[in-house]
Amino acid sequence: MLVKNYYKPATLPEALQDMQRPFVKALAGGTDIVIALNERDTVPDGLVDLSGIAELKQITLRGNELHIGSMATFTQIATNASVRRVCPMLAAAAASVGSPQVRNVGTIGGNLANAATAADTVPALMAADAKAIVRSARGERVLSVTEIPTGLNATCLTQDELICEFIVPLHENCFMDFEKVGRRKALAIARINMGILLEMHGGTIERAAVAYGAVGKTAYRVTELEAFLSGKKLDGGLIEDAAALVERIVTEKLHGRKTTPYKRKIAAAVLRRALIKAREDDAR
Amino acid sequence: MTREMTFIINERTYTVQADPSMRLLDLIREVIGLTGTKEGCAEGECGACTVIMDGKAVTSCLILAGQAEGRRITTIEGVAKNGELSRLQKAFVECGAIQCGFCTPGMILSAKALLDENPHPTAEEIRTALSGNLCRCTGYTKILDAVQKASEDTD
Repeated sequence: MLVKNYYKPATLPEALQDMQRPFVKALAGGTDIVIALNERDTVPDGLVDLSGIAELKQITLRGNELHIGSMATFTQIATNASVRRVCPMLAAAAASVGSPQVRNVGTIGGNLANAATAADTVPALMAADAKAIVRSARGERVLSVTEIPTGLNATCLTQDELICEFIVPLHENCFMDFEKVGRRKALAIARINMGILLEMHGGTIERAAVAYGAVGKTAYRVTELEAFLSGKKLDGGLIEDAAALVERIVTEKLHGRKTTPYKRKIAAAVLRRALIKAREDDAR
Repeated sequence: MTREMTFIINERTYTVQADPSMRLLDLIREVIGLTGTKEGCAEGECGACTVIMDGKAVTSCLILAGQAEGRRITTIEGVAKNGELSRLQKAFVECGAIQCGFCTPGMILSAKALLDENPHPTAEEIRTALSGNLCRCTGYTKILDAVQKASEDTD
């Protein structure tokens, strides 16, 4: 027996009521929490299984927004035609998670709520300016994804709140890319991952959004780099200057951690890789 | 806390007293008694416990019984029909894709999930489909060959 009580609500209102119970945890896909339960790393009094709530699994394109239910699996996101067209970096991030078996079960909401620093979909969501609709029996909050992770496996959500949906705005004619470095291709926990969005005009970067994961305690938007890139012509010189800047930012961010020499190099490498792709893309 | 739960495993309905917070792997092995599904790493890395749930390969060590309730599950025991190995299983035997056999049920189920959805996959698609299954005896070449062969053979 892993936990005393198991609740399986069929609707969201029931789930929000169940989340009011003391010492319960939400169970999304389970690919992180089931391991933690099995190893007794977490011992809640009860679990609220969200797998029976159909409305949390929908992916729809409405107007100029993509709505992704928090219980959409990585496989659903990686293969969904709207996600691939509107936010290819998110589809690529979802496709890079774990193994086919993990992607068939793991969910985008769980990926954010578990708040691992290396969670692959989080930098893609952040770079896309995604918002999350968070609900509890007490009400609703709309948060920027950047606000939600606050530390290692920690978020700003209260115990009774559920992430219900992500809203990803459409970014017309933008270059997007997701990059990841892992020890191997399948089942690799990212040593670094990055989502990048560039609005380009005639070889010049008009607007940049860059988020890194697995550098520090949470994924984050690198605003200093974004400001540096904006308004500049994307050429070889800029790519090298940006790579040097990101090396300095990562070094400061990790202040003295032993992985710093490696992380700053791979942070620069993934940025270089993405900017070269963006330049080729823009030349076409 | 146990309660009465219903599972559809290998097209048979089982109604059992079980704890919804136990792992699907433990339910299959210890409550249902089908021990072809193997426990390797217990953390979703090795794929030995792979089963098919609603048409998708999943690692049964990462799923709780409560999540699997009412869903259609196939284990290795459900792959052969009427005592005869499936085309995929025969291909594993013919290609020598088995050594100790511990990873084989998971390999077969990952490959079956692929072939059920995509009967003629490319070599790359086969590699991706098996990327969540580890084998510590062999190289992977004979396993990949077996899946390829099964996708080419016709009954």
